[in-house]
Amino acid sequence: MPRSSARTVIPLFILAAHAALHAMLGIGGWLRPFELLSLLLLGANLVIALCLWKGSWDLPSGTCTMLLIAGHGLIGQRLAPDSLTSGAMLTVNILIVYVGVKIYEHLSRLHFAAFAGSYLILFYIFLTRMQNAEALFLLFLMGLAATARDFKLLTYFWAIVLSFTACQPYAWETTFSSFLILTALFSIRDSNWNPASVIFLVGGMALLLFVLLPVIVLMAGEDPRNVVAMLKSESVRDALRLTAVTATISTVILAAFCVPLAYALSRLDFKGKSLLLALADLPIIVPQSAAGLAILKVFGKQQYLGGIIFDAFGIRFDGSVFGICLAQIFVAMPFILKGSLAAFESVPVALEGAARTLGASSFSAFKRVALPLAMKGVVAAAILAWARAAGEFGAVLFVAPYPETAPIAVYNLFNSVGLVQTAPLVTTILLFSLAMFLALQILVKLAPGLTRREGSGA
Amino acid sequence: MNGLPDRMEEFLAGFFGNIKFVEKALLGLEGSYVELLTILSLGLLAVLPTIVPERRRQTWRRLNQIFGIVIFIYVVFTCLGVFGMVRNFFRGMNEIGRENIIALYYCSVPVTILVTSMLFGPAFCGWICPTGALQEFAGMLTRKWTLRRKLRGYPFGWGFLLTAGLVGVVFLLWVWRLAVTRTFFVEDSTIYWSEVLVLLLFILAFRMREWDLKLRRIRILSFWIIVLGALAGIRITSPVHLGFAKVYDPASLLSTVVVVVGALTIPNVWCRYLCPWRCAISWAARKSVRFIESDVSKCTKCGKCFEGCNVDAVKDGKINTEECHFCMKCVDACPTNVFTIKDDWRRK
Amino acid sequence: MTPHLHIGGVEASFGSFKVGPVRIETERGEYLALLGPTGCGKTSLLKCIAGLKIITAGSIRLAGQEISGLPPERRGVGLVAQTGDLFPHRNVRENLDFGLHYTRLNRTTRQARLEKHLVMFRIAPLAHRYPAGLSGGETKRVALARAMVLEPSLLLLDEPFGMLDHNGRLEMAELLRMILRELGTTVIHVTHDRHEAWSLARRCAIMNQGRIVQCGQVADVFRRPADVFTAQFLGCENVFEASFTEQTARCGEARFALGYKPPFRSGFVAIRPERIAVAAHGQPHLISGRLIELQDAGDNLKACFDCGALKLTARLPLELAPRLTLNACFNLTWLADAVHAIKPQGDEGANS
Repeated sequence: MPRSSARTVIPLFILAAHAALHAMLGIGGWLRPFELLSLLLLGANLVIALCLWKGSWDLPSGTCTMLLIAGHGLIGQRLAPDSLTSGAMLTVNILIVYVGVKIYEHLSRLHFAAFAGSYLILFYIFLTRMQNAEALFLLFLMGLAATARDFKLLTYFWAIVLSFTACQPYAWETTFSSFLILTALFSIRDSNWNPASVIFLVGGMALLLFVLLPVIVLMAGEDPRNVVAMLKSESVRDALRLTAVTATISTVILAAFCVPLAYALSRLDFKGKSLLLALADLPIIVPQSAAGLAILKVFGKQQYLGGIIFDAFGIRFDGSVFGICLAQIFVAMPFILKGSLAAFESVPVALEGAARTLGASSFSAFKRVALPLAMKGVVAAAILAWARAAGEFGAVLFVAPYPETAPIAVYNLFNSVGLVQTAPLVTTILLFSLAMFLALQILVKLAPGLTRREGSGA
Repeated sequence: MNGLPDRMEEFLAGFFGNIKFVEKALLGLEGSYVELLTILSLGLLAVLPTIVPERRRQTWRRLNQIFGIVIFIYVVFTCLGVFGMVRNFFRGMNEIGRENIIALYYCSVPVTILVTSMLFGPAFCGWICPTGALQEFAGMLTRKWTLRRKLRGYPFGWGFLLTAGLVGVVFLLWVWRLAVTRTFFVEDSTIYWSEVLVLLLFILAFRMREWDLKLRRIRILSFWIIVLGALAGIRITSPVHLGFAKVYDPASLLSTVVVVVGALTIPNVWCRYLCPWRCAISWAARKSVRFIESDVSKCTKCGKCFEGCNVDAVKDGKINTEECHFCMKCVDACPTNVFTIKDDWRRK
Repeated sequence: MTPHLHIGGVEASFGSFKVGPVRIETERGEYLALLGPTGCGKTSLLKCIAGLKIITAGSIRLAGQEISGLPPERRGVGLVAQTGDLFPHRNVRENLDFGLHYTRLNRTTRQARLEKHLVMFRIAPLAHRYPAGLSGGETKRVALARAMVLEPSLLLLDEPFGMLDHNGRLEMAELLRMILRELGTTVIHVTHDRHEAWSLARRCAIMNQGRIVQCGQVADVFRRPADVFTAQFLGCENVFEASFTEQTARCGEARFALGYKPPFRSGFVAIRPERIAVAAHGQPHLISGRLIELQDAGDNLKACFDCGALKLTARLPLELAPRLTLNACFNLTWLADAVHAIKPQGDEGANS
């Protein structure tokens, strides 16, 4: 291979200039001539020049590297207090220059502009706006080197940079949120892509995450040891247990009545159906405190109906588990009813007709066709209802402030000791609810698999 | 002669006057320059695989590995532990904007590893990682035997099973004895990982061939355990930590012994089945700029690449990038040049 | 002998739409095609028979037993809906097993019958697939098998050839013939396509606006439609107002021989287009007309002739194509039995 003249001349020139300047400055006393790093760098430049002559290194990046090394060798120790600092800076600089040259060679001008722009902005952020952030500058430069070749990666990189600089107290939360949005955006299937829905998606997700931020911050910011300590406390465990038990009982009762009701509503047409559906939404409209008072007014021990029930069964609602369940059932009912209704409406009536002609009674058709097909929606509705019941505060507070459920325990603790001491309890409850919710969600995922095997008999 | 540099200095000082870089540059933590040397040396090590002459690449790689062990023992001991690295990374990120120098101190190793992996492929695993190097050097002792086993498709043998069982039982008894006599051992999760390793050995003795790839997914589990552990602030000591910690750490010694013993029977057993970093590195290197391209049409199915590979990542010219350690043994071993190391900046 | 299925005066209403009164009788093992345009109440009638809709009057007797009061699961009537209505949460095998669950058969009998039907309807390879992954023809076959595995004495098919391609139709027709031949099931086959009726049924009933307008042997119904609607629905494009004297029909100036004496003085004549032929030069002809439109319909030529007051449409054999030139005059002829007299509209007397 004929060696091009540039390959011979340029490395030679740089090497000669480096050596000459090194000698000159060394004699001049501006530079210690026999300092390890600068000599090493001189040697490194010799090696690179040899590589370039041999042709085992490409000219542009080789030249840039040589210039960088020469620069560092000559003025580096004036900038950095010691050779290691200088060396680390040099390494990162070489990396950046190498990546820059490669991007310029192999990728579009836009990529290079993004890379150079990012470098300048990083420089501005870390070296002029922040105090003592040179170390961070090095760190993030490495990140830039790794991500600059791909716009997607570069976007993720900037999400991290901005999260950890501009959004500082909530860095992890912002990182998490922005990654969520970016991943969603980048993974949209091309065929469905259209600007309107993408903009709506970003806007909607931004609001959603903004609203969810307090919860994320609370959960991420709490020391896990405090949570563990909380979980060990007897009263907290009692409150959590009570919440889980009452919410489960309420959900079971609701499911037993509302799922069949939803089925009936989806299959029958009658006068006053829309009124009934509107009434079922009442618990959403009524303020929870008002609902609690209403329940107390009717089912309180001193009241007429409550009194009768107390005399007949010995059950009192105010200040008891029954009252908690009653309040929870009241507030959670619309969720399970509406959810199941939608689920049953999505099951074609014709399928039940087919089942009937095959010999199934109407109950059997419900059990073996309508219910399995609606199961996913019904279970999702039940989970929502469970979550609503477990989180109910207002109505329960009026009906049964004691025994304490988890939301009331938070309120009481907040009233007595204030925000800071309540935070671990809130985190504990959040984690607990989240864990329960996720566990139930996983159950839903399994639900169609379970129903699919039902009655395979023969 | 004196006047020019001084004037230059004045000029430069004036030129960079508003930049703090000139006034006060990086200062290491407690006078050490761990983080700086890390960047420097890892940067060099990452470039080395392509610079070294091809003829003696494997020799250079061994030298590199030894150099890696030295660096990690004497310089980066606080950051080394493969587990500690994840935890420290998290800790370092939390320091960003508060104690920036500490952030650099903790983040430099993981960031360097991830960045070099994203650019230059998973070369850290094959060229630098001291845990990998330790296993590889241990594996050399039994190489003949393990290679024979591998070529025969990991056959089931009573002798191997009984030996592995004996080692396992003795080890577990020892651990149990230590656990009941010295309380600090029980709390150290290194024991947990060691036991997992022993159990793995047993499983492998039976069904290595079928279960190999499935078992490698344990790495993902291991990664999440570490991440969640880091989030929860649980202290986890990693194997091969003993040489690097200032404090004497017998639990770490124990797990180091297990890793080395494991590597005697199955090459790079830690990397294959348990290393959480391997998980992160294969993710980062999935679309790395540098990769090994294989031209399967040239392959003569001589089996030399499969023989050489420590982690069974290559067979008949096809490389499993999830597993590849970038040690380039296959590249060197191939008689028909199926493999070429390539840089593709547009790779997506 | 009493008919196997007797539907007498059945009426049902669906909102403002009313079906009936309907009267149909079929013998055991008979294949009856129920023809009618879309929205005439065919499917509703099937649902009434199956018990999925409640009838307001009349009786349905199956094998001598009144079933109109029974719930659908106790009627012993198989229904195959237009879309198949397979249960999406059960695989093919479980779909077939659904009905057997209620039969109180023992396990081995059930198993054996299931296997038999899987093979008979050529769906054994699909046994473990789910309905979502089946093609149209497969879905139909499974639905048919699911109904037939219970061995009902009456099978109701709602557009069994709907949404099938040509091969699917052939396969389905073969299966249906097999049912007819081997299982002896009485079948009511609802369709809007007269060719299906020809290919499978011996008897057919024509339904319009909720009523049966004609019921009889297929050939009979086709050749001698009872009213203008039936004639046109069955593809007879030439229907003209006419007055009858003795055995002759008069439409404007044209006169046609009927070959029989209709019981009414005025009404309509229907001339089936495929019976009209072009007479050779010099041969006797009935009418002559100018060719005003010619269209190649694939297996025949559709030609419209302007014969003065009448516009005749003929389906001519393809061989004639070279001779047919637009605006030329042709002599047309047909046999006397191609002409059929239809009672005037509004006269319900001749309904059989």
